[in-house]
Formats: sequence, structure tokens, C-alpha cells
Amino acid sequence: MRKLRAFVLAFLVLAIWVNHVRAERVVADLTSHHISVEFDFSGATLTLFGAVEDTAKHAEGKPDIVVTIKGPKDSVRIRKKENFAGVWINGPSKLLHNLPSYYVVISNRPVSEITDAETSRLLRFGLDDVPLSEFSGEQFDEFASAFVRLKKQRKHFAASSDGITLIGKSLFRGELRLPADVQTGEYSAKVHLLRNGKLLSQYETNFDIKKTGVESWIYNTAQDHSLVYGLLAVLTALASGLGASYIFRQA
Amino acid sequence: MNIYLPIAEQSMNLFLIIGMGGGVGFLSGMFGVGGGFLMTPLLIFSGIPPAVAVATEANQIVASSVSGSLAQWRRDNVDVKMGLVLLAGGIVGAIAGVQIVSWLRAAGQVDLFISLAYVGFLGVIGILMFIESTQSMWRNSRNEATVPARNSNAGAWMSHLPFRTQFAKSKLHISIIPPITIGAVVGVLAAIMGVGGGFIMVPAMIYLLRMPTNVVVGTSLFQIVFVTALVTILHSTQNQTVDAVLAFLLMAGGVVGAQFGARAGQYLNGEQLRAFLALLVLGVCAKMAADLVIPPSELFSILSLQAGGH
Repeated sequence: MRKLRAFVLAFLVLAIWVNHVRAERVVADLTSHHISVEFDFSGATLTLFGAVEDTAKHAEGKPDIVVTIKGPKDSVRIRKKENFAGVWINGPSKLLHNLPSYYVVISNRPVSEITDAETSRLLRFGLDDVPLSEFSGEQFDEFASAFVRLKKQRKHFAASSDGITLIGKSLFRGELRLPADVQTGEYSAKVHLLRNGKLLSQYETNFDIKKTGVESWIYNTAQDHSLVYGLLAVLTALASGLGASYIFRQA
Repeated sequence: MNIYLPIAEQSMNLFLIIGMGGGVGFLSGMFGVGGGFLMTPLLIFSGIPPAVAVATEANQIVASSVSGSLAQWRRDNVDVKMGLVLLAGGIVGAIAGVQIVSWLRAAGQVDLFISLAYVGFLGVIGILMFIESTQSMWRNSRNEATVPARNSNAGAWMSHLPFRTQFAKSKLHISIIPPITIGAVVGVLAAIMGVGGGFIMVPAMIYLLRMPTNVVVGTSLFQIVFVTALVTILHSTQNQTVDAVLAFLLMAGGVVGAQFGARAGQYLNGEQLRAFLALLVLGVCAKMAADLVIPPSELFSILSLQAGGH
């Protein structure tokens, strides 16, 4: 990983100084490719940095950068509450498969100013229809729109038009905020370089989120060795109950 | 400072959890009650999924009842034979209760079911406690003697039941069917509500089984330790809903709070305390009921099938 980072850094330096005749290209990297969910995990911030190569020949104004970050796929059950005899209970539900658990679009200015609606739709820059139509082929009904709305509330789906900062003509930097309840798994960040609304280059980089340390041990024991987990939970309770009363009797 | 709860899969303030454990522990030490019927709703109100709240609270009750149970055992206040008969019922009830939770989770109705169970039980118990404590305050203010009305014929129907056996310590010769039934009901409640069930078992032992009061608390605690331990294990294996981190923090707050609560309780007026507890129980009941009937601002909910439950 260190090698890769050194490589990318070298690339960045090259990008500023070297002046080829090739088309413009974008390269990028993240400050970290592994995020650990530990006992004090309350979300994480990732920094993305990158450069536009071979920019000098074209230098007409600034380039546009749009980054789409996609989380691991998930199957979800979406339930709708209904009023039954005065009480709100879970009524009809729908199972949707292969939805992204996380979908965030960050750019240096609003996507609508960067490119036209058709390009934006093709490149999945929008939030409202894109992730669902791409991954499930489901009709966009009230369940699907509720899914997007709830995901937005939890900041699992988001669009930020000032998430990318351009530095000079060819460098850029972006910040990605991951909330505490993100799903663990593989994430990808796709960096798009556009100029005058046209896509010039794409670059993809990945990162993963994993439970580690005590959290991982507890979670895995609960899932894979649930009897051991239950027995340990009971033993802990017995020990802390008896331990506390012993301490208080001494005091 | 936030701490990540591995099974509830959310981040929560560490001091809030310990504080809730301590606060409920204080009240339970003061009133001599288990506290599960306050703790589980509090966890639900603070955003823990109800199924996780119930299973985790059962785990905490093991800790909060074991020391009291041992103290009663040392004072020879446990009718072991009665405790084992109650426990036999409790085991059946716990297995059934955990199975019910499993089915309801799959059907998406477990939250509703837990809320309804709480509204029903807290409502009835809160009202009964409130009436009882205000009546006894009224009587005390008029210097009347407080004689609990114990109907001498109350247990007559039980003498017709089969499987009679001798419970030496309780000085009873009764059928094992009523205690098994009581144990089973309490086992179901422990599994679906995350309570010890003392608030049902103690009155049932006194008024239905007519056990001597000196062995009632010890015997019920004896049963509660084993039933909640079993509920913890069953929820762990069947539903994976016991959050060990959350449970441990609640225990840490709870055991300390209970010690101070027990001391504070000695200096306070019993009837007023019970009236206060009754109002607290009714308040929690009202909040639960309101959450069921007030139109929710968001009708939809999403449940990830990858992480956590199914």
C-alpha cells in the first residue's frame, strides 16, 4: 500500500511538471484504504486527493470533478406502517435486492451546472433514480422512494456540490464523511473528469470497512458461535453481579 | 464519548448508557423491584431495536438478581423445591417466548408486539399499584389498621387439582400445576419483554399459592436468575439479539445504582415511594401507547438483510 501511495504521489508531481500531448487523464487516491470499526467507532472521514494530467495544452478554464462512492450491495425489506384499529402497525412490505448500501456523489460544483441531464443520468450522478434503476430494475414506486428518502436521512445517500476543492488548474482534494452505522464491506470511489460537460477520463479506487479488534470478535462470536456467546454473556452477568455485591459489602 | 454497540450496530453515548443503568438501578434498589420493565422501554425510547433491548435486558437482569438471590439463599429464604417447579415452568415459557419473538421478527411485527405487551402490563400494574398505595396512604392518615384482605377460600379450587406434592419450606401441600403455570407465564414474559417477572410472580405466590412471605422474594429471585440466564442463551442462539457491550455497561451502572438506591429507600416513606413508582410506570405506559397511536412522521422503515436480523 505504501508503494502504491508513493507511486501516486510521484504521479502527482509528474502531473504538475510534465507536459505530454496525450488527452487529459485523471488520477486519484485516498488517504486510507482500510477503515476499522472498533469500540469507539463513531464514523470516519476519508480524504481523497488527485490530479488532472496533461492539462496544459487544453487549459481553457477549470476542469470539473465528480466522484461517486458506492458501498457494498444489500438486500433490504421496506415496510410501510398502516393504521389498524387506531394503532400503527407494519403493513405491506417489499423486498429489494442488490441495492447499494451507500451512495454518495461529491463534486466541485452542482452536477446540473457541470453537465446535461442525459450525461448525468448515464454516469449515475443523481440520487433519486440512479442507484435503484441501476441495481434492481425495480419499478420506482413509493417503497423505492421511501428507501432513498430514509437512506438520505441516515446520510447513506448524499450529494455534495462543494465536496471537491480544486487547487490550481490540475490538483483537487475531497472529503468523504462516513456515518457510524455504515455497512461493512468493499467500497469503490469512481472519479470522473469532465470539461465543458464532456467526460474525459475516469479513475477508480477502492477501500474497505471492517470490524476489527474486540468489536469484530464479539460480532463474529455472536454470529458463528452463538451458544458460546450466550454462555459468556451469562457468566459475565453472574461475575459482575456477585463482584459488585462483594465490593460493596467490603466498603 | 460514543461507544459502538456491536449487535445493535449503532454508536451511543457511553455515559448515557451507564447513566440509564445507574438511574434504573437506583430505582430498583429503592423499590426492591427488578427494573427490567423500566429499562427495556428506556432502551427502546433511545433507539435500540426492541428485540435487542429485550434480549440484552434479560442478560442484565441475571447480574442484578444474582447477588440478591445469593443473599436470600444464605438467609435460608429459598424454597428450592418450589423454585425448581417454578423453573420447570419457566424453561418451557422461555423456550416458547423466544420462539414467538423469532416468528414475529420474521413477520415484522415484533416491535408492535413488545409495545403492546408493555402497554398492557404496565397499564394494569401501574393502576393497581397506584390504587393500592393511595388507599394505604389514606388509611394511614386516618390511623386505620392495614390488614391485607386474605380470602381464606381463595385457594380452595387448587385442592381439586392433581399432582399434589409437599413443599416443606412453604408449609404447603398443593398441586404442582399452579406453580408450573405461574413459572411458564413468567418465562414467556422474560423472553418477550426482557423482565424478571417478579412483579407478577411475587403477588401470584402470595395470593394464589399462598406461600409464606419470608420465602417469596428469595424463591422468586432464585427462579429469575435461572430463567433470565436461559432467555439470554436462547436469544443469543436463536435471534443473535443480545448485545454484550450494551448489557455490560448497563450492569456496571445498574449494580452501583442499586446499592445507593437500597440505602436511599430506607429513609423514605414506603407508600409515597410506591405511588411515585406507580406514576413512573404509568408514564412509561402512556409514552409507549402514544408511540403506537400517534401518526408516525415516517410511515416506512427499512431493514437490512445483510447486517443484523432477517
